[in-house]
Amino acid sequence: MKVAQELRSGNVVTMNGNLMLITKAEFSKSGRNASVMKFKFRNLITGSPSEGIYKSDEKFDDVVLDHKEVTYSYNSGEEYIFMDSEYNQYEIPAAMMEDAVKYLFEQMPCEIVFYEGKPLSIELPIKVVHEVTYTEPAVKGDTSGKVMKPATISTGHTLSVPAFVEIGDKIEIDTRTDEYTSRVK
Amino acid sequence: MERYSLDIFCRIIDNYGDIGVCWRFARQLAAEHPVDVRLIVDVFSVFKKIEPALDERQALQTLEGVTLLQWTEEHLAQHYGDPGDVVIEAFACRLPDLVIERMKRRAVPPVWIDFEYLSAEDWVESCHAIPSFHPETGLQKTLFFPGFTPRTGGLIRERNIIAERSNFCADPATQNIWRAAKGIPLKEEGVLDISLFCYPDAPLDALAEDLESGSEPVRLLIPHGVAAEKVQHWTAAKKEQVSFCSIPFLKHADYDRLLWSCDINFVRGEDSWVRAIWAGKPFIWQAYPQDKGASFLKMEAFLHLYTQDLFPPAAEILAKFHAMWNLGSHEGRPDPRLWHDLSAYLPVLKDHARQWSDRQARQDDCATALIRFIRAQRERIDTEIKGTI
Repeated sequence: MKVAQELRSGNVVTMNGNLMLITKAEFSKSGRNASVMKFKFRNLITGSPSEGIYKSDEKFDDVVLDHKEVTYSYNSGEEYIFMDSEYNQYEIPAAMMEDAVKYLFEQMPCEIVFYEGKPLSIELPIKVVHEVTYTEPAVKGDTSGKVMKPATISTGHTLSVPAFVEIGDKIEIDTRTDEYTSRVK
Repeated sequence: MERYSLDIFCRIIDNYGDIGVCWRFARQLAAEHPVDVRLIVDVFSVFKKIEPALDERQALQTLEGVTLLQWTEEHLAQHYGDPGDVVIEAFACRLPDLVIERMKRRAVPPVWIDFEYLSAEDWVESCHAIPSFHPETGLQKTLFFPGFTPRTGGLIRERNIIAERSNFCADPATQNIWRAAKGIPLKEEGVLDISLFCYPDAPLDALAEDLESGSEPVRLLIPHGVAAEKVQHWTAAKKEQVSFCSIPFLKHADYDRLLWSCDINFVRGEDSWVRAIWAGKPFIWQAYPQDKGASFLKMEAFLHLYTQDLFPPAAEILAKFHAMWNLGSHEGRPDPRLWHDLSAYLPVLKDHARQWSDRQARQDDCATALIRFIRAQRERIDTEIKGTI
């Protein structure tokens, strides 16, 4: 069992007897209680897409599939290429990568997920560190972390960070929620 | 038109917000739509504060057309019976196992709704009213989001509220008769009345000092129990420009009248925020305090929407005032001229508040949107059932 907030694109869950691959997972901070997760699914048997909105503490039966540790090598255009420690290459179609491309960098360690022997998707580390390449100047005096602003990281992805974060800072991001978690010294 | 039975489950967490929204919504649904409403609430003692007619000793009773049931294992086992055609879980309060088991056994599954918090953030539109398979039960459950745009569930608004407000505001004598009956000081020429409803972490001392530096007398009307220690302290301090009046904690209809009869309203959370919008008077909103800057993001999202066609200098000072009020005491001393600057724009803010209120009132209200959604879901369920026969 996993709660919705622990699920990421690449995970497979069972719903109503169907095996559903999560192809996109979005996190939004709701009111006082649990946040909201928006999932896009692909039925692994029929291939049909669907979506669902859940509270982040909703429990799901996750399916344990074969995993292999790999590192990201390059993007050939239509496919993303990964390599294991024995130099075997694995190709994941770009269409299957979904949110993962927001954080990918060369030699990034991640895991390939296999279904019936075929590479299905990739799973990212829960926490990744990226350099901020652009953000508006810090607000003087604000160190509370309450005021947020947009920041762009080296992959081109933009997320909310506290107002004190500056260009060149390295920040840790939770890939499950796309949230800034800390500034890395 | 088909009549539905509808259950609303509400857990009271820490304040009056959850029950405030649920009680108002339950009453409106029962009064204006073909639904038989049951409201299942856990803490009757808090509920009684906003609805004095509630009898705390009765686990099952009917008020204003709504069946009220106290949410305890014992009372549910004894009185709950079958789930309604519609089961609403207010603010993801988690339904009891007994209810979920009975929902699963129903020949026609209920329309299961998680009624969510109000937010002006962009993501709400894309998450609103999308039926989703519930992973643990196989039933369908839908997150329903109130909101400010037509692609959300709208705001809770009773059918006659705008007309009632207009009549009340048009007649100062009526306002004073009502005030006298409720133990609230009568209106005074040249004195600005401000109602104050806030969370304990609001920068109240800074506000009191700031108001003192203004150019006209201000009277703060504070419901009993809100910022009680501060009010005692301020009353003893005898400010020149600012006077403090502790007023009774009011039930819903009276709280509306308080908002209608004040010049500015400080509101918090969700229920009083929406009522301040329908009051059509300038207001300052304090979002429910959350970590990681979430409440600040919600405040910014709302102000972005609210100030879109407001005179830019007025929008700027309104945003500054909201930032001061929502950032609380963490940010040190706020700008002492904030009140001075804000009050200069009061006529502009007053016009804007009325226009914004009128514009929102032209959209479907939340109960209407909910009933429309329920009808569509019931038709879908009926079609699915017919398809399997």
